Amino acid sequence: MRRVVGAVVALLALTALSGCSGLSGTDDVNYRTDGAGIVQVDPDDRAGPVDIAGTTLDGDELDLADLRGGVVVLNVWGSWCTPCRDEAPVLKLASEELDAEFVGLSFRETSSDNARSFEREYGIEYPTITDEEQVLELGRFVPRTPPSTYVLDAEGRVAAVITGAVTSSGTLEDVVTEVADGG
Amino acid sequence: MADVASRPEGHVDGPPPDDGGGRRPGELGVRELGRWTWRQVTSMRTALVLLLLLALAAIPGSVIPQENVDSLEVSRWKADHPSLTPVYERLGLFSVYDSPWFSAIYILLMVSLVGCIVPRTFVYARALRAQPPATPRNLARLPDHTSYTTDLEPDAVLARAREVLGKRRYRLRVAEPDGPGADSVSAEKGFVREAGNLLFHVSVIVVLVGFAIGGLFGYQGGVIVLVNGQPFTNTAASYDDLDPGSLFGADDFDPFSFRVDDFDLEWLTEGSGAGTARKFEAQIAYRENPGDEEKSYDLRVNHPLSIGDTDVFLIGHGYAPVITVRDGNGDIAYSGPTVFLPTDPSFQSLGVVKAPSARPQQIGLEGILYPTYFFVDGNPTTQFPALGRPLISMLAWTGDLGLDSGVPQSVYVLDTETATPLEDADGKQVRVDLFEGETEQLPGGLGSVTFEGVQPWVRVQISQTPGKEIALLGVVLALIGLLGSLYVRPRRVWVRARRVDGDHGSGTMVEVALLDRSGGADLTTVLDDLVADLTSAPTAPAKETS
Repeated sequence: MRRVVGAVVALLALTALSGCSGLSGTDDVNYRTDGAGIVQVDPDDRAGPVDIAGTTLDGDELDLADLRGGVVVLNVWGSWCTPCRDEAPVLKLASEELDAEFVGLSFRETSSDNARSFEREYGIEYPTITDEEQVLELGRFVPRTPPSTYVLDAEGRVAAVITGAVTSSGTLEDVVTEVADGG
Repeated sequence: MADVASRPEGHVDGPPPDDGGGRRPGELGVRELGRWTWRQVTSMRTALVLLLLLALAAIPGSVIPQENVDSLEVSRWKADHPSLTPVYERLGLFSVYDSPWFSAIYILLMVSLVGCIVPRTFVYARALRAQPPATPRNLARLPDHTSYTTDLEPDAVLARAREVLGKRRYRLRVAEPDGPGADSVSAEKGFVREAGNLLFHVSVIVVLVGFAIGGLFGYQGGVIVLVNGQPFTNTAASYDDLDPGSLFGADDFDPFSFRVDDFDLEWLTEGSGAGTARKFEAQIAYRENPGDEEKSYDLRVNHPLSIGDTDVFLIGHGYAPVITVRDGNGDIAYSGPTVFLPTDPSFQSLGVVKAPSARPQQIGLEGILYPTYFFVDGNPTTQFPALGRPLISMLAWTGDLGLDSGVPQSVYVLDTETATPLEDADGKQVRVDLFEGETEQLPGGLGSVTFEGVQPWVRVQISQTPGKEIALLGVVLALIGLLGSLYVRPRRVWVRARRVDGDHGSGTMVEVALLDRSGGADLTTVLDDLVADLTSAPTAPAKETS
């Protein structure tokens, strides 16, 4: 009987400890503020290849499956999202210097015009897929908040997730190199 | 004692006689204090007080806007009450149901209930197995009693009594042919009352656990979805406001998506309800899983869509003016439907446009949409909430919109701290007033603003509440238990039959007594009925009557 009481108390005590799951609520603000974090997935634990395909801002069809064989960096972003603006220069630089294909996936964008004007501002030249529903293809790695950046390995599997803005190209470079080397 | 006193001070053989360490009467040891506290906590009075407290504590949750219900409303409230806000925040009043003090009441109530139910269940189990009590010696002392004489033998009377009481579903004390109770029948019924009582207590726990499960493993979120806009995909990132349970993870969202294809709304144009919406209905197309076939659904108020474990409720609607901002280079710096939030039932709505990519300078607009604009008595107003004569009236800002400070910003607020008002030739801040289809040039060659049209939006609340069936079950059980404990009367009946040899001949004197343990009931009719049954029917064995 004591044990039952203890278990119930423990269960209820958990209700009091909100915010221990890693998934935080919007709390006091109308937007989400999850801090940046990198999660790397061991090659043995990686889920199946990500099947994202759709129309890009330029009107072309793009299928990530066609990019397999090399490392792909997938950035989920929106022109309305302030941290996305922070990371845009970093991503532009990285896309020019790293040995990886960069692809964007626009998220909660009300108009492609806004996405285009964002790309114009930062001089981003890699393609961005505009079919937002495609994020669900990321399965258990669905974005917690934009921006979220995914590093896909040569087989198209999620090898690393960076949640929040990528603020230093060094971090991304390290991850990309590691994934390219099979890590 | 004399022996102890005669010893040298400080000399003690074995444990001291007073293990309380010389404490005074009235003081409690740790054990006693614990036991006392436990008794207080598990007392019925404490449980009732806690239940009342829980009800009281829930009041701010319905009076003060709650983060998890409508965070927009909360922001608005905070803006209106700058001095109260820090106090309320401190007390967790914007999120009552996860505040520490609410949890404290909740947990204490659980402990109290469990501590009360478990011992009572044992007592009840013992009572169930126990026999009805022995017949008191003097039945005449009981408040409800009667007696009569009959010619039948005492054994026949008692046999009849057993039969009658048995038929009325009394539990009978096992006959003791040779014992002191041989001349009587003792019967008891109404055990269901205590069972109902216990059931009620247990069901309160079931309800609490149901809500706790919902709170731990579920979530609630709200989002504004544009009609004919991008689809909504169910991920943590897609919500405008989200309140996940502590054990709800980012990968626990059902992977559905939906699109709002159409939105029908009927405005009442006359009568006392003029200006209110009679019905609104959103036609949505959804996929339960990526790649599934698309299904359609008419989402209405109180007619939610259930996808897997998730419910989608339509809770509101509004307007998103389609605004295009061209910058000084002639490029489109901003375009598309912009969600404006209604500020009152007239659907006069507030919104902002941020065009940080505009060159040479960023452009920001902040202002109001009047769905049916008229200029009345020197004041701009909307005459009707429907889109009769939509007008946007927005103040223009330029310079640094604060979007590159690295701090996340609400899409509904323009940060004007570092921005500068865009001024016209007279030094007045530019106000862009546009009817549908109109374009206005901004001064200084900064560009232009066009009001293209209005697209409606709907606000949906999406929630996953895994424990809700449990909570409902708890409420049903509580009702059953309450009925049992209110309407079932625990009652004891004794019948004693004795041979008497009096002046006017011999016979059997039968005494019947009743005890209602819940008290207050009028037992005379019950007693009369019982006696009537005892005396009326043939009690002799069949072979004698034939």
